[in-house]
Amino acid sequence: MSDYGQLQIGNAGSVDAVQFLLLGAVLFVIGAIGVIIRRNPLVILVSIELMLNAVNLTLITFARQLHNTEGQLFALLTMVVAAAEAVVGLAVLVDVFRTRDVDDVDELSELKG
Amino acid sequence: MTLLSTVPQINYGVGQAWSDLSQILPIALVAVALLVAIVLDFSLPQPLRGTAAALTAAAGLALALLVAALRFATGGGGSAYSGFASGDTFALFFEMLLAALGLLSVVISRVYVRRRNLLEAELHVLLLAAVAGMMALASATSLVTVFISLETLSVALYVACGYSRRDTASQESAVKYLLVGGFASAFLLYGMALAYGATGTTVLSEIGKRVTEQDAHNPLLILSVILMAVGFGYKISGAPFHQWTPDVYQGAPLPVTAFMSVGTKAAAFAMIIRVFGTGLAHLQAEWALILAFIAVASMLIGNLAAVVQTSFKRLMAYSSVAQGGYMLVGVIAGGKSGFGATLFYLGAYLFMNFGAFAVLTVLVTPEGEHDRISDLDGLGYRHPLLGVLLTAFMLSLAGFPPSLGFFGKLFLFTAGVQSGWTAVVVVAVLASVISVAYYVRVVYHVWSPVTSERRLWRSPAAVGVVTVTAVMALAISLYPALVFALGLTGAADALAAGH
Repeated sequence: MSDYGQLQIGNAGSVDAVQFLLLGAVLFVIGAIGVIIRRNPLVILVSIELMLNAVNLTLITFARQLHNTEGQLFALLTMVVAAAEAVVGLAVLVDVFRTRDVDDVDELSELKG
Repeated sequence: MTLLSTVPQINYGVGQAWSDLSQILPIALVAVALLVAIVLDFSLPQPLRGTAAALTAAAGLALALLVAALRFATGGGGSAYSGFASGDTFALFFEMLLAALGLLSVVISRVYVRRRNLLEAELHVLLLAAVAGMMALASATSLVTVFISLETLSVALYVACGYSRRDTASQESAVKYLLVGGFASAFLLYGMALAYGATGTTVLSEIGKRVTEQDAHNPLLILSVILMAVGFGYKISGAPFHQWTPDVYQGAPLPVTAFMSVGTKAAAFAMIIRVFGTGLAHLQAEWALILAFIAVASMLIGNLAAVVQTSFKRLMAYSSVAQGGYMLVGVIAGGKSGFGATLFYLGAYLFMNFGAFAVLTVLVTPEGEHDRISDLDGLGYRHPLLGVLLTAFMLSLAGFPPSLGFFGKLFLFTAGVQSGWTAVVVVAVLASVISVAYYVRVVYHVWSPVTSERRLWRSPAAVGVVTVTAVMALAISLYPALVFALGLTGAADALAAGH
């Protein structure tokens, strides 16, 4: 993947773009693991946000490398979407917390069959 | 080279703006109705709000349906907004379907919220937002617009699932849908980012031109296909990504379940056909294999799990997992006949499935819903019309000839065999045989001599909706070739964009 070349970062010298892509991948995996192993619904929501932001980093790295603004546009819109999702997510959770104290998603198990 | 120098000169006149807007006119009409409904909701006195929102929603959706039908009849439009959206017949097919779904949902929602003493206007607003998102998804031809539309419909539905706010089941449904939906969206988004990185564009028709068969060895694109397939799997509730479906369907308020069971499925299939069929057409060998696995798993797991359910809503949830598997057969078959068959089946599914859910409205009481299958005991004797229609919907979903579902499966399985997916079709036929067991079990309960103690609520509006869906289903089953031709036209347009 060396064709993605170097990124110039301020005066700190250049860094291989692959490192940014790898950082994005690592953050995404950390977020995914968080969703799977953490039980608190708020922490799961935060982990999903981490996954979305990992993708944003990937998108912006690609946009920079390809000299193409579509990736930046995509990242900006993803941020809007992530904000909307967080707002709705918190509102739904507040609704749940009003009727009971849930610190483990497994307690939400009324529906089964 | 600085980034700014790559930004093209903005040269976007009024004429171009109008021509672009005309391509997405049905979506714009729904969006306008949505805004008007919101304004009316906070400016009118409390007792008028619900009715005003319902009328606005109905007017907007009816206009959208009319405009979409007229544009379809005149051959449809084409690409708009620099290739980010399209008003082709593929988009128009889904816009008609979703506008019809929206109209049916407005009536059922109104009947339901009045019965349960919930606020009315907000539900219409949420469903309008979801319809707008679904329509936009069908017309989206860039990864950016696909993602935004998908999230528009998803976020609206997360709230709608929790609409019965004091009801713990509804809350649970919303939380589960939100967390699982967000997780799935992240996978989809990562897949899209990699596709963008590998091709340098987000416009699907451009991706279609830049990706060739040799890219089957490009790890970036293969990873992208896998991640997107996982995201799609969640959205169409395909096995093994289906676990959220029964809980969400059971907990959500009845009109929301009826709406999303049909609407999200239609919109998600439109998205799959656009992204895989148009954008990654040259990697069909790769994505078809993954989707074939999801299809087989969905048909087997969905049908087997449905057999043991005691709740009608859960039974329909597993049924929808299996039905999604049948529809995938058309997608993996690919080409005009495969995609066309999927489009036809989605149209058929709208009327069969929505009708079946709408029957359940008669069992709603102010305290809650009664969705156990045994609550339907003796419905055929107590309300013969609904009994007969529910029987017809069940037999149609099972695919008995000469019902609508039979023609749908015929087109799907024919396309599957013709493109060499015989093994998948064999599984599909066997799975359909299993499905007869639980669909007929519902029919048995409807005509059981033991009568349920539940009081029936004979709402004329709800019975009207059930009758309308049944009449539409009957009309299509009398002229299946006509509607199939519409589906083929749409599929041809979606395919043409990739070449």
